[in-house]
Amino acid sequence: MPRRARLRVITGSYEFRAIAVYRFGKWAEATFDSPVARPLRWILLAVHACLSRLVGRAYGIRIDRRAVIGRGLYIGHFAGIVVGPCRIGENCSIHQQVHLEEGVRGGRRGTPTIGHHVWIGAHSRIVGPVVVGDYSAVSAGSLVTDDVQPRTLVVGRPARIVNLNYDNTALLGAGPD
Amino acid sequence: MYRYGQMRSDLREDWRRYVRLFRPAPPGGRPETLRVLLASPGFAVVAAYRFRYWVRSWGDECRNPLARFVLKCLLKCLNRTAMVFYVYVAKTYITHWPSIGPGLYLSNKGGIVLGPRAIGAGCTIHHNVTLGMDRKRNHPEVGNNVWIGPDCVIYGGLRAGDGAVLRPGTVLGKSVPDRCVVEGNPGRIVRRDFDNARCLASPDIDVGAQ
Repeated sequence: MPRRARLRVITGSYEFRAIAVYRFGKWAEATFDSPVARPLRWILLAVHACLSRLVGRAYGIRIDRRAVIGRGLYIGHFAGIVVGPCRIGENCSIHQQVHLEEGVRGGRRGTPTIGHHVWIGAHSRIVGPVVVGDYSAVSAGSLVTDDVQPRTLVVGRPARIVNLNYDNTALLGAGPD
Repeated sequence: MYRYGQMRSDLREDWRRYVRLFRPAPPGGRPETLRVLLASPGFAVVAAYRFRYWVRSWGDECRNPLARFVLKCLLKCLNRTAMVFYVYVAKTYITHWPSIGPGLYLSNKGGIVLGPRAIGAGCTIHHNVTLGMDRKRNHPEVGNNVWIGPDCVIYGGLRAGDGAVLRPGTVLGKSVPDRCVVEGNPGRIVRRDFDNARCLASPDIDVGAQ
């Protein structure tokens, strides 16, 4: 990536800032775990709490600190993103108005688990203990209520399987939907 | 080519719509015309976008290289300032420089991401609406007098015909003809030859139901 483009991401991308705040919280939580460093951890986590509130209010990107997110997360646009305490794999991309939240499905309460290289389109909702497999794509505006196999494209509300051998590299390379 | 006079008349039309929808006259009183300027982030977004569009087209057609340079720099500053306002205050975002017809009503609640090719005259766009590109990077086009309800997604190189109504929560990936009502995910046409004048005349989010 050219240096100018890198600079543009830091100065101009609101979504990147939201992710940075989340990573900062994770770092503070993991690094200062010893009993000696506890007070410092409290201070840093308080800073993180303030920053993440600010980001949530200002950009509408709410990422819970309990979420476990792999590297290379891409957020397409701001506004209305809620990431609850879920697990997200590496190199995923999520877009505006996406909700990944704790919920009840089939009598079980839980949080969604997203695999690696998953593309989640705008306005999708993934709620409850759902597993979305690697390299799958969730189309715009879908409501995922069932497990999604790897390399699958799901569409609709509730989501139906459209393609069982879907290649989402073009989507992950492309920008927002 | 976007002339100053056209920007002014477009803005006047927007203002008129906002006064009618967002700040209607109380019974027996006069409409609160100026309140629109102060209390409506949606109108501010539309106004800022039109101003930026005018500066941009002025810079494009300017022959004098110095004036051109100055206008381009001004446009960059404007873009930055407008972006801050769009994100922090209005939560609304307009990209890809669409040509927007007069009388656009954007909801004041925000959550709108607009990246269309063009928007026609007299449209209403409610909160949490996305107009974006598909994987082939085609952008949608919206006709005149289209009513787009909250939580709609429109993507791909399609055209929503004149006078169409998109009920709340529609996800549209294909073109729809003029004057029809679309609903659901994926969007289906549930009614044809529908007159949406009542939808456009009210700020309510579910007047398309009737």
